[in-house]
This record gives sequence, structure tokens and C-alpha cells, in this order.
Amino acid sequence: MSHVRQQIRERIAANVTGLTTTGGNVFASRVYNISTSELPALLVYAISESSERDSFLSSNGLERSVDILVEGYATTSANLDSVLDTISAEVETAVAGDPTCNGLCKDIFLSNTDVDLTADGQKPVGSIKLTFECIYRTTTVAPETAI
Amino acid sequence: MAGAFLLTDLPNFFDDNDFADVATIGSASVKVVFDNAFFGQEVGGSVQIDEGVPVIYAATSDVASVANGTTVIIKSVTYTVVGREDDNTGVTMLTLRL
Repeated sequence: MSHVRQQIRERIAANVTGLTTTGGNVFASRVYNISTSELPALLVYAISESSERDSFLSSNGLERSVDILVEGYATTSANLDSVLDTISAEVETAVAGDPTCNGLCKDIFLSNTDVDLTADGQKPVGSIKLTFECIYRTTTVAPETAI
Repeated sequence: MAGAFLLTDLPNFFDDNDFADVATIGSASVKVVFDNAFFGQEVGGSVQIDEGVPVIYAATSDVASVANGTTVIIKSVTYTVVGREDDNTGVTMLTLRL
């Protein structure tokens, strides 16, 4: 059994695999550079989490909010922003299609979007970073089981 | 002003029997030195994109009229000029994009 955070990250990575634009180029927690031959691609990370006890001195319920970052990368000579917006639409639709993340979460919603474009290399490249806030619950003693 | 010896030596630098290649710039054939150095492109994300930065160097007199948007074919790959830097000693660097 793995931490629920890991289960959520892996579930979202699976949900965004096979989309029209990015296809199978989905990488979980990637730390190495990407070559242009691997683009367009999606990278999925769990970047931060906050949590709160149900009540003072409670040792049972813990409500957690984990930010899952889905980064889309693309390179194209024209309309790069449109390609990134298409990636965004496909990812948002896929994530929204599984609103409890297979029963792991109480809620998932897109909380932030950032776009970056640059053209210092041989071809313009851009990224769109979609942060999904995922609310889930565990007990303090069993972080591997969603409740 | 560059010394005359520099200008007269330029053909040696752009000799296609040594380091230079012949590129088609617009409709002209020009002897150039091509470079496509590795570049890890930062794009605001968690990782970098592996890219090259294609440039050509040529005698300024051979590319005097070349402007951004000009097509360059070198090693069977077609690029577009997106930047021009004259070093004011007789050599010009043209920055290329796929």
C-alpha cells in the first residue's frame, strides 16, 4: 500500500495518459530534461500538501489538500499558445471526468494555471502548468488509506 | 575599422574544404560556418527542454542584404533567419530557427 498522495498522483497521471495531443508522453515526477522528440508531453508531480486536524487534540481525522501539478510542454513554429490551450482543455476534461480520483478524493479542482513561452532555442517551446487542488482525508495513523 | 589583413584572410576562414559549408541563403549560395550547440531551454517548468541553437557565421559582404525571415538551407535542413549580429570586423552571425 502506498501513501494516498502517491495513489492520487498516479491516478491523475493515468487519467491524462492517451490524450489526443500528448498521447503516451506522460512522465510522473520526472527530473531529467526532455528532448524535443518527446514533445508534446505531460509531467505530473505532487508539489505540496497542507493538512488540518478535525478537532483540537484529535488523533483521528486529518483533512489534507495536495497540489498536483500537471505540466504540459509543446514545441511548434506557430500558434504555440493555442497548442498549450488545447493541452489544457484535454487535461482539465480528463481530470474532471474522474472527480473523486477513483474514490480517493473528496474534491478536485483546478486552482491555478501558468503559461510560459520562449524562443531561445531552435524552435519556440512553451509550457502550461495546471495545478489541481485535491482534497482527501486519512486518519493520522493510516496515511495509506483514504477515508 | 578592421585591418585589411583580416578582411583578406576571411576566405580562409570560410573555405568549404575545411570548416565551412555551402548554404543556400535566399537564392544565393554562400560559404558559412554552421554551429548548432546544445542548449537546455528553460521554459518555466520543472525540467529543461534539450534543444540546439543553430547559427551560421559568414562574411558580412556575402550576407549584406540578409534580413530576418530569410530562408536558409544548410545540410538539407531549412531554417529561417531570426537574428543578425554584425561584429563590425567583417563577420556576421545569423541566428536560425526551424
